[in-house]
Amino acid sequence: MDLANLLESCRAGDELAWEMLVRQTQSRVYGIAMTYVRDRDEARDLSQDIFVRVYRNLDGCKDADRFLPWLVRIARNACIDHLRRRKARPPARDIPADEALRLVAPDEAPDEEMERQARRRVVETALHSLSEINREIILLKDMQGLALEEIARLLNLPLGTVKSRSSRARLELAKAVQDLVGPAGAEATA
Amino acid sequence: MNTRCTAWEALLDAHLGGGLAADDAAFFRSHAAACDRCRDLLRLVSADLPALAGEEAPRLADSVIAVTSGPACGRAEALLGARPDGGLSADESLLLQGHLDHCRACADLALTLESALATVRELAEPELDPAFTFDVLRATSATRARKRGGALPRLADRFGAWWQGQAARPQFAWEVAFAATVVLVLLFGTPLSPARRAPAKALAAVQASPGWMIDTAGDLTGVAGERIGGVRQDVTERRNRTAPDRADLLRHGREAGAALLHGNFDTAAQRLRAAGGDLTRLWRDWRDDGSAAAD
Ligand SMILES: [Zn+2]
Ligand SMILES: [Zn+2]
Repeated sequence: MDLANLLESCRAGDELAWEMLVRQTQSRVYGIAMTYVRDRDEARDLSQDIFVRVYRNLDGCKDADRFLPWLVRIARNACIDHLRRRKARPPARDIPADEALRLVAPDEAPDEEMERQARRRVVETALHSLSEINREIILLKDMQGLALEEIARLLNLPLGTVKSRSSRARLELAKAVQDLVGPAGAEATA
Repeated sequence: MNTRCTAWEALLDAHLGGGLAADDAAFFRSHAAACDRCRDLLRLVSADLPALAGEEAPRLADSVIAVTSGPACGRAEALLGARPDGGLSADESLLLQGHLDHCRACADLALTLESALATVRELAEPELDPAFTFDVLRATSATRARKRGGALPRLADRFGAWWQGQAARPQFAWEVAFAATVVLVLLFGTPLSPARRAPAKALAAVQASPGWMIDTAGDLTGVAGERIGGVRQDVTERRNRTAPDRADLLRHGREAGAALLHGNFDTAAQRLRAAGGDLTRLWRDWRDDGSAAAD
């Protein structure tokens, strides 16, 4: 079933279609939530709220080609609302960089898996060291693969600004990773 | 450098041109053999360009760059950052690659960037527990029910059908715990639910049988659904106000349910106490709008 039909069925109230749409997009939504709040439980609850919003607004997405940007927009708004509300409450504990590096996978995990997880933690930590706007641009462009034009619309910024920011944000990310683990060459020869 | 060197240099052009007189040639050769400075100079001016390029060119290029444009790393970084957007011209790509072949720092940065972006793409879709989809479906069907204002019997039907469908799956135990928590939230997280003796009811809900949970969830959300229409604004505010409490409750309830199902009673009791605290807070926040005059 293609996305257009799936959306049409969802709008018509078909629960199975809605279930399939949720299954197909839940990891992506969770990934977005995780870039705003690092706590897994919190991101999970937030993802659920996002889907409730998606469900309530299904009529707002007429064009299947624009579904992804539409979904990302809803997810982003929900995340921002959530952070705004959370400000009144103590923030979730942020894992300090060196601690993040020491956290490793369970013993039975093969080396490769451990390495992958360690690499993910480093990048997560680096992402969270960026400014909010730079992190968002990486989220939208490099993580979710939105077109620069979509991002410009979403963030309400001129295309040229998004372009130059996207370029700078990536460099900042790479440098933040280097700050955490040293230059790539050193790692490769170690 | 002395007068002999000066004399030797005066002959250099003639030597390179091949027009050196015999006497001069003898002097030219013997001084070059004896004087390091002049020998180096001779080698430099008479060396083939390709031979020179092998050893001297990179340093030469560096010094040329240093006195002209300054280090090219800044420009290379700008291109590196822009490259994933696909906006580089063929010439720019070529120039960038040329720099990366010779600049260790930029090559490292390029490597780190490439690997970081690959990881970022991995982070796009992290794994979720299997109960998540169910959780969403529950939440959205509650939304639908509220929208329709009272079409709640279907909810219980669907919950029952879900239950039967899930019972055979290995994740079932975990999901039972989760379902118990969902009922908790439906019971005490919904408006107008009679939650005065909340902690005791929480315990009862977690320990109750599936049938009891199905019935109770259906009844209570039905009541709530019918009465929400007129007070939607108020309800929205209350829901927002209690959202953090409900998140806490959900987490503690989930942990308590899981612990119970694994026979881990100490942990379960502890989590239930926490959930009880959450419920008390939730109920207080639900009733109290923050303006001290309320209540
Ligand atoms: Zn000399
Ligand atoms: Zn460089």
